[in-house]
Amino acid sequence: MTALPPVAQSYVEDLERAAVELPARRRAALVESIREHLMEAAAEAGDDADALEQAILALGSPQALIAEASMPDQGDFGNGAHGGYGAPGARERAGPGAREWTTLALLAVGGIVVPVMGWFVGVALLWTSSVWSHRAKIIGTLVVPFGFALAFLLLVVPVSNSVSDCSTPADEPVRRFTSAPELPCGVGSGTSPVVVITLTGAVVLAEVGGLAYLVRSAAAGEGRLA
Amino acid sequence: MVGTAAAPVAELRRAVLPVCVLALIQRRSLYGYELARIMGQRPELLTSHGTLYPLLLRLEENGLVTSVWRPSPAGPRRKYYANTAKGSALLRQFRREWPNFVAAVDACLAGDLPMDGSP
Repeated sequence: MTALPPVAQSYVEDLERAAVELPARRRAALVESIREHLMEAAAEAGDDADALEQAILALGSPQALIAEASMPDQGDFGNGAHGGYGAPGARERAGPGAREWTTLALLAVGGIVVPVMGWFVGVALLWTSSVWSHRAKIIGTLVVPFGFALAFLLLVVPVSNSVSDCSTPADEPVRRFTSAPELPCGVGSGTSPVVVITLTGAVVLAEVGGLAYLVRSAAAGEGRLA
Repeated sequence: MVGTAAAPVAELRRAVLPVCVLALIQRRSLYGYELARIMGQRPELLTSHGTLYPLLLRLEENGLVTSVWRPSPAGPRRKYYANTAKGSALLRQFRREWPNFVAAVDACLAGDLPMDGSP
């Protein structure tokens, strides 16, 4: 791709940064159009730096462009206000619809319903969605992997682990192996309940926060909650 | 969205800008920069050129315009926009309705409407 003059290039970069909230596809299309516009403007301006500066000013701020791009499309005949004009593209513009709610449900409890696998299906749906931005996808994946299943594990594992006999009498010189070799003694039974409960609470809070972010970004990016 | 009394002209611009785009590309297909230059002659329509691109994106998503990439004689390729049948139909409908709408608003502004409500 041909290089833009530095002032124009920095405008494009500002726009790319400001556009992280947009759904990935829309962001790419917007940046591409603006880049094309600036290419034309730069070719026309030639050596006239002022003319190029004017062309960049005429575009308006990147933030204003993003605001325009993330606005719901009332006014553009997208939602049946004019009867029947909104059909194509309507599916991917509807904010969280059935597909998005399924994704959210799988991310939250999929790992419990179908252990581990359910969550992965949720992640796959998340990453193939055109509603969520790249940033939202990363947050949705990394903020609490396995969703509430992780909190579930934190609570259940120490309890079941403490059932097995980990106690080592002080006078016993050789430490006995326990019946639960996959879980080292001390993770559960040795940890105080307060720590376990705090940790579980933190995981639950993070998960709720992550899900709320996904709902909000799907709604804000595309206009309305279905 | 309920129009705010604060900026009726801005609201109006947002509403009619898409139709203006449809009307211009009805004459021949245009690429974005060209469209910005043409509309930029009337700052009442296009306060900032950048606004055009999110609009074109939405029109395309809604199936009112289509676009094709074509090489340009000098420099990078250009994305040309044209109306779909649906876009043309919408434009025709708007062309029919707009004069009556303008006349009605003008009548209000000019004080030409009878105040007793009789026809």
